[in-house]
Amino acid sequence: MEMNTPESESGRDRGDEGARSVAAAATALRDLTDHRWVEVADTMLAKVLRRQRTSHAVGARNRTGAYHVSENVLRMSLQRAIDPVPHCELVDIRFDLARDVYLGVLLIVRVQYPLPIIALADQIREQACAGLTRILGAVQPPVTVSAMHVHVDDVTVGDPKTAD
Amino acid sequence: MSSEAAPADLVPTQRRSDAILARRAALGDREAFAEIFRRHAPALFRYAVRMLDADHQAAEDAVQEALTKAWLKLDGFRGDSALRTWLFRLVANECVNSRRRRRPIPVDDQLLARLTPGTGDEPHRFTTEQELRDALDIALLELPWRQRAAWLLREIERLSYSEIAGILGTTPTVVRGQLQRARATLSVRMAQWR
Repeated sequence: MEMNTPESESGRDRGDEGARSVAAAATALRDLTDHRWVEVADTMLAKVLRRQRTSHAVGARNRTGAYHVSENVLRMSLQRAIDPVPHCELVDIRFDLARDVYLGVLLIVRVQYPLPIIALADQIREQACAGLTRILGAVQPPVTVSAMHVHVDDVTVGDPKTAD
Repeated sequence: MSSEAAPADLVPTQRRSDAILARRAALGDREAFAEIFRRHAPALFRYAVRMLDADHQAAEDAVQEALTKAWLKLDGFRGDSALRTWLFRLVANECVNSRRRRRPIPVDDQLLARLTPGTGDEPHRFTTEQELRDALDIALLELPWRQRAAWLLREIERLSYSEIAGILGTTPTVVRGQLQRARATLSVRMAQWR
């Protein structure tokens, strides 16, 4: 049988009081944005984004001659080109290159169920081709995004632009 | 079919989920990464400051290094864990590296001696939230770092035991034990402060 002495009750009270103080302090800490963070956040973000990812160079051509662009630039260009297509989201982009020559691109895309996939895929292909051509110009072989494989491995009911 | 959809179709970055932002940032979308930064970096900094004994400069370096790695390696993030958990793991690793570079301060894992109960009539010290936070920060400094990390990730960042275990490279059972000890120590310390 457990006996509560005034001393043990006092200790328990203090423990409860301590736990309440910890909980209150934790809430205060969660709600706080460190003033030092406010000072450094923008500079830190800029420094982080200044770092460049390694990337392949891809041959391009315009009226003044041949040049190279980074594969990362092509990725961003494709993303921008496909962003306006509603109810679909780019998941991955894989370029097929022979040294620095563009041979093709594989776009992996999620689309919202139950929209007609083929029509959306046509729109995506058209946009992707336009986006790549804008950057690569009149290269040989010319930019094409022609083949289309539709593979259903999951069903997304919500808009894939905002949720998984 | 129209080749250019109306700009109104573009979704504001703030409405996108973490998983979508991570995928977009992996493809090079800087605005998506900036949104990840805005969502999670304040908490990462809060964690780093307390893991590095309130050394703000070291915390800043650790968070910057971790987020730089995140930016450069996001294409390797496969979404096996939540983005937030992955970011905390990067920061936790940087904090460990930072602590290794500093002179170690030995702390006994069986930390505290029993405290004499107070009389209960001491004047209350917590007149403001700031003082309360300061008291907690001092109490946290006394915790061994694994206990401190587990407590911060659970009680401040609301991560699950398994997420914390993933971040700290241990098991949920160990995390549970560390948390119990941390809670007990902090309760005693905060009671003593009042």
